[in-house]
Amino acid sequence: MRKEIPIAVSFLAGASIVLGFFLNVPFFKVTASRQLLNWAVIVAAFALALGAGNLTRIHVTNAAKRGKHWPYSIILLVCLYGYLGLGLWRGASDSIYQWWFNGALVPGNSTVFSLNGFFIISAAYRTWRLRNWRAALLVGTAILVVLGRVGIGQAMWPALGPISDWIMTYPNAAGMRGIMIGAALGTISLGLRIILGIERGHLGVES
Amino acid sequence: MLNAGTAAKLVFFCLFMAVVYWGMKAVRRGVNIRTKQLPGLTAIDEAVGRATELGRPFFANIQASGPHIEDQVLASCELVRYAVQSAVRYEAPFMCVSNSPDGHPIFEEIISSAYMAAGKPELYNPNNVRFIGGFSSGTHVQIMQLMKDENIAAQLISGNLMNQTMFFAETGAALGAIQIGATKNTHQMPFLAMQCDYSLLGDDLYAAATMISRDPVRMGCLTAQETGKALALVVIVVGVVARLMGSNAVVDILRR
Amino acid sequence: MESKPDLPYRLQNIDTRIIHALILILILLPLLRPIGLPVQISAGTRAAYNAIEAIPAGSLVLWAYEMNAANEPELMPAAIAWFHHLMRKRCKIVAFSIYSEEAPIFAQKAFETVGKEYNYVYGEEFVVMPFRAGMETAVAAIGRDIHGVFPTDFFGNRTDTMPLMQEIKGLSDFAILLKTSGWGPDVFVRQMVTVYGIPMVANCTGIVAPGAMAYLSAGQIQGLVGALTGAAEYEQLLRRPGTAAAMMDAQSTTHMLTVILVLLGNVGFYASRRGPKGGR
Repeated sequence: MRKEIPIAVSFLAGASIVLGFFLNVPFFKVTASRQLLNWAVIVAAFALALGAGNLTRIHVTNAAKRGKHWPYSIILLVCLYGYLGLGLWRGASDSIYQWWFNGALVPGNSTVFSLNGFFIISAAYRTWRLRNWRAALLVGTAILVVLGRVGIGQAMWPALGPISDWIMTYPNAAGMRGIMIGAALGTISLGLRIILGIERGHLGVES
Repeated sequence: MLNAGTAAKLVFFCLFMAVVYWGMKAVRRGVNIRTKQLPGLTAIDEAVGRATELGRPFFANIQASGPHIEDQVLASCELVRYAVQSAVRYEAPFMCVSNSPDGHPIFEEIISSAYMAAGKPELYNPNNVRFIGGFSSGTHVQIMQLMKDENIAAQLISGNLMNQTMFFAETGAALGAIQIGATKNTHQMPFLAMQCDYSLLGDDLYAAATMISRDPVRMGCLTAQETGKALALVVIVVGVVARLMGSNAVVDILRR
Repeated sequence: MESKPDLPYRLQNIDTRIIHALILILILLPLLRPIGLPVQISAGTRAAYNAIEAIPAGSLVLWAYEMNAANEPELMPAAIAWFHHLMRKRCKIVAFSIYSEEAPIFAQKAFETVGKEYNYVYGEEFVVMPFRAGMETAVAAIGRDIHGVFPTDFFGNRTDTMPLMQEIKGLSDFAILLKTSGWGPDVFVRQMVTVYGIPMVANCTGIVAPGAMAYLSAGQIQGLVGALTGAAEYEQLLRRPGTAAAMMDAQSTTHMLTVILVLLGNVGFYASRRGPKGGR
């Protein structure tokens, strides 16, 4: 029963959504699929609580056992529950809540996100080597786009802007589309396997 | 009866189902479906071997982009199962980190079952299967720190990867880890191709899960997947030729 | 004693810390002393501008406002430009988010900044919905039943009593769908554009923009504003220079640095292959 019930639920839910997409039958199109989608939104919200619970378990244990970086576990728990409490007490539009958001979360996250720029440039330097003609083609194209997207490149050679636009619109989009079609078919295939109960990896058991 | 604009999609869907059925039947009849080797898949064994040699962890880093189960996380389950089974066999240290609240219990189940099935439950440490949640950059730093603390030897970065790809791949590269990247997100593919030793990109991620099991039904699905690609290619070529000849017929049919 | 590495080796192995320091300097310098390099308008940005320009004044606009604390510096300039463009036309905007929990705060912040200038009234001309988990499922649910998914707005007010929400029966009432996020437009193309035929314009981070081009050239989205470059172009089209234009010089210098570093690395690579010692 541990496997059968989730498989039956997957089949009913998946088939209703698929039928709701194709068939103009009010039960599938409106009642079943709309209700199921609304339920899915609620279930997904519960997943956030599940995540918070898991985080609490790991960090309470770490702090209690004085594990690695345990003071950070305490900071994390204080922030997690303190901010949650503040939000519940004063509401998300409250000025204190917003102050913490704008003063701590935004700059912190933006700082880490900006590391991407540093990493991308240093990784490009390390890996863009003209080892063979294919690598040369890739690096050459990349340089045209890198320069063509910014003012300095366009000032050096005005044709770089349109060239970069052309590369992005045609060869790039064509390649991307090919990958997307393949990946979409993979997704359909996986979805079918789950709906039909063939794929059971997500139930924690070997298929 | 049919919703507007779905007729062509329904025909394609039915064709797809028919090929799945045919593929399943063919494999069950003993028809051998030849598949290409996926270097990204065979590299998992190589990576586990390296982790065993160095006595440092194999790090499965499975990422979601939101608080719900996603197809790419589901497809990653089989990669994690394959890696952990290999790691248990060689008694290599194994860690799994996920930011998917729904995916985490699945990984716990997969990993603990692998240790139980191999008769080595004493080697299983629940703290090695971690949920490090959140979808903002701040939490990615926590994973980068963990990678550094554990001094990982190998990394599998898989799932619905977003901006975190470079953080993890760069940290892995700095630690000299052998890296395997898997995603269908086109925007992260250049980074995986640039930073990882091996990759499973696009539909390779889904194909890998099937190829691990060699299960007839799944092989049927894989056949359908590949046939669908061939069909899409034919439709594209016919559509382009028709368009060049001034006909919009293919586009009109697909829009029906 | 260990011999000192030769020049080709050093050219291929510049210390990452030096590279990072150079990047920091090359970002800071143009921000402190702007160069003011002009930017050419790309086809995607022009198409986005034209698509928004083409909707009738006072139209209903659905905006997937998926900004988070990480990508806010990259996405906010284009969002501000869109707010100006829509508010000039007195469009009625419904903002929602299904990817990012913090997005409603950013939507409200941008509305408060720009809305004042146009005397926009919350609830009548703009409403921000709370975050809804579920991603693709949530997008599909919004398409089927927007009132059911959002019975209240971000502040907890009932939406059925809001004049703006009373005008909406379903997704077909919206003239256009806008999307601001660090992700591609695929989910919205699948669940809204394909199903309801609503035109869509996207704004995304630079990393995502190449992938999103496939949707633009296929006509599944009507325009694409890619990253800060796109935002600067949009500001230029709107004739309203903003923060993106100011940041473009920093992009120019760092892109130039990338090219120089790649060239140096390759010079080192070839020199080491041809040199007397051979490859290292």
